[in-house]
Amino acid sequence: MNVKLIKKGNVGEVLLDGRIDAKVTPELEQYFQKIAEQFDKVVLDFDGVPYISSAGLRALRNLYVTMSRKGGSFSVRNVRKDVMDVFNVTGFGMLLNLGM
Amino acid sequence: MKISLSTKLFQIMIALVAVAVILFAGAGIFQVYRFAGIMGETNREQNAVIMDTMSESMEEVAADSYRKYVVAEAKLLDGEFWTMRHDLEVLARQVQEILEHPARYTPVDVPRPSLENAGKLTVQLIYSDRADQTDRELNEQIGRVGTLGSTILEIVGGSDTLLDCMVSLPGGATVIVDRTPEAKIGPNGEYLPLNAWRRPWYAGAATHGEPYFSPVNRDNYHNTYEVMAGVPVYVNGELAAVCGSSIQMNSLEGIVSDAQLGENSHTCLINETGGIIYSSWTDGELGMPDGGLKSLRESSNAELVALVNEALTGKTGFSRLLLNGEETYIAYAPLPTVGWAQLLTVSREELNQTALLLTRQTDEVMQESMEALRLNQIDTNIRTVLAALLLLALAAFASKLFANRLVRPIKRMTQQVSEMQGDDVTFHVDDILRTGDEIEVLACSIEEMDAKLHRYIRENSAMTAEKERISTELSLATRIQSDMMPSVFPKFTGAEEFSIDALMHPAKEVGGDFYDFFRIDDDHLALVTADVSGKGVGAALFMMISKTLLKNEAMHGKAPVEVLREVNAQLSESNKEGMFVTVWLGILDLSTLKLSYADAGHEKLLLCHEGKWRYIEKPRRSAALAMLPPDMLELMPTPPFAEGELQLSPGDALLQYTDGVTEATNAQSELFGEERLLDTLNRAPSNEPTELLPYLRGEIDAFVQDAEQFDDITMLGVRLKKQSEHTGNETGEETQK
Repeated sequence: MNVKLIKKGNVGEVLLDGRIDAKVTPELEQYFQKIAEQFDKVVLDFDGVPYISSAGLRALRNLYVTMSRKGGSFSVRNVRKDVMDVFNVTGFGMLLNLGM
Repeated sequence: MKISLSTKLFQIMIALVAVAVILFAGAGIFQVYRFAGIMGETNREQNAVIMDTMSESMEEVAADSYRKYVVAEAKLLDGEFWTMRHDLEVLARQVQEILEHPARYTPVDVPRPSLENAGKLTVQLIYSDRADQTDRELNEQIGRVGTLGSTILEIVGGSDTLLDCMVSLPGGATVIVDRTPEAKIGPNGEYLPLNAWRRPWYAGAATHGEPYFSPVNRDNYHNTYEVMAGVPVYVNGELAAVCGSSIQMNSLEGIVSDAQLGENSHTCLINETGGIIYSSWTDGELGMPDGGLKSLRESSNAELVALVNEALTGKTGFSRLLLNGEETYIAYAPLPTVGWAQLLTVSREELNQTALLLTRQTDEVMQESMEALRLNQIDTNIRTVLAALLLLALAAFASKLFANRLVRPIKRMTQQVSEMQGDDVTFHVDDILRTGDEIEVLACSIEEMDAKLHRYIRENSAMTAEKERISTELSLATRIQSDMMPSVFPKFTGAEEFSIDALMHPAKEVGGDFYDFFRIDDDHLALVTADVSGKGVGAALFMMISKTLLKNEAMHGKAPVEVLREVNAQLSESNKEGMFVTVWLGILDLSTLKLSYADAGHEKLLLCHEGKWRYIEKPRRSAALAMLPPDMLELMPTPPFAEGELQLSPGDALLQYTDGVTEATNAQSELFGEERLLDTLNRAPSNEPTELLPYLRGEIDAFVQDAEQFDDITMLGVRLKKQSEHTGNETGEETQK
């Protein structure tokens, strides 16, 4: 799992690359916490993510909660179909207003 | 081969010391040799200077002293001649007095030579062969001269050098005083004549009319070479008598040869014509002639001729010339009485002898000191080498000691470390290791490391024990978890109008998935599949809570969506971990075969109708339970959960599952996927859950192969029996664990 951060002022774009499974989730969760503190707006680019586990969803959920609490915004883009299905199934897509 | 640290240190130190010592020793020896060289050079230069200075000054000194010497010698020799002449002149005046005034002197008898007086100094009368022995006047003259007999005796007797003294009368008689009267007597006892006028001294004096010294002559009576002098006596202008005397050359030689100085010094007496009268040279240019005079004026050596001429002018001097091809100094001085000259030769070598001696002495001293220096040098070198060896030995000893000292703590450490076998043996920094340098630091580090190691071992043991405990507990938890899910399917299914089967394979010891089925009442069967986000113990606990809450709410007879809403509210309240759970809850009315279900972000339901499996599309979007904290619930779309109804027919089958099925991934990162699932189901030989689920599980395994299972895999299958399959004998109560 590789992440690449692109800073655009108070917007942090994170390019994710690789499977987000239970193995990488704890690390990713810490990373997300750091990102959440740093930026007002966080955009996650899922172009390189073929799979996300429910644990990974939990990390996204927590990031979403953190960003919402601090009044910032959080969005995802370039989500592949398989991942989008997961988002949609779990209802995560609703949170992100991605539409079904 | 291993070389110990101490050996290395030792080698390095000894090498350093050896190099230093060898350099020092080499420098010392070099210095000594250089000094010796300088000494030798100095000595040679000094000798050369001495030789130069000496020969110069010696030449001056020698010139002066030799000249003085030869002058003194010449005076001494000349004194003999002067005395002789003086004696003769005194005698001559007395003879003149007697001959001028014969009347005043009474003739005395003058005896003839006699054999009785042989060897005695006596007065004798000798006639010449032409004399008239009977002539009265002659005999009276003889008698009157004879009065001087005692005087003449005194002259000869008082002199060391005079052989004889005589008064010769022209008439043919001679009054002589000498020690050899026997020589004047012939073999037959006859008196031998003496023809005095033929003698050079007589002839010379008569001719010159003044005192005359004859050249060296052979003496008549003594058979020796002698120098004779004659002094004429004139009466009334007529030669009246000649007084004569002779000096034996032996006496002269004694005087002259006394003047000789050393082996390479010679003395030579020459007369007024340059003839050699005496020479201590036996040969060569100044060699004593074997008879007859040899005039040096005729010499081929021009320098010598010049010198002789100069000497015969009555001068004294000192010259250097080549004599017999050799550099020779010649000092000369006149004998004014006889007009002769004395030469004193000394070879340059002789003159330089002193200088040579001096230089030889300094040389010897120098040689001695050189020898001493050489010995000292050897001594010094030996000492240097000994000192070097001693130093090396000391250095070796010190190095060994130092190296050992340095290495001792390391050895000690090694020993301690190697002894650290059991848990109770700890590394301890003792006095040996308190070196105050890096070794102590190292030792302290080892001690610290040892302490850490021990702590780690303890912790590790504790941890291992803890792990063991957790592992045990986890396996217990797994059992509990699986026990929590209904599993006694045969009994449950046997007499029912439906058959049911389920499986849950956690990816870890405990999973986040669960399934559940239970009867709410006789007509209602609740079916649950759920997936808690994450895995492990936390997920398992969350799952248990969720499972309990769901069953709890469902048992109240609420509609599925109500159940979810209620459980969502309860789960959201205390969810610090941010967990959420997707749930599919279905409640099947067994009498109407109507399925009411609610979905909270869970997978789609699969229905098999008339042997054909299909997905039941979700009625609307939904979100997982506890997706948002209570204060953010308003962000959720309303209503957040979907609900739906499905009319089933006998023979229909249902399959619910968790995403572990569709997201099962093979080594090529391919997902099993919904389509593959559908295909697999449609290819399945049976839709009877007890057969279908293992088949499905087998297919998934075949697809995944060796790839790791990431997610829990949960399946729940239900099949409604056809009327013909009913036994009609319901055994009543459900069994649930």
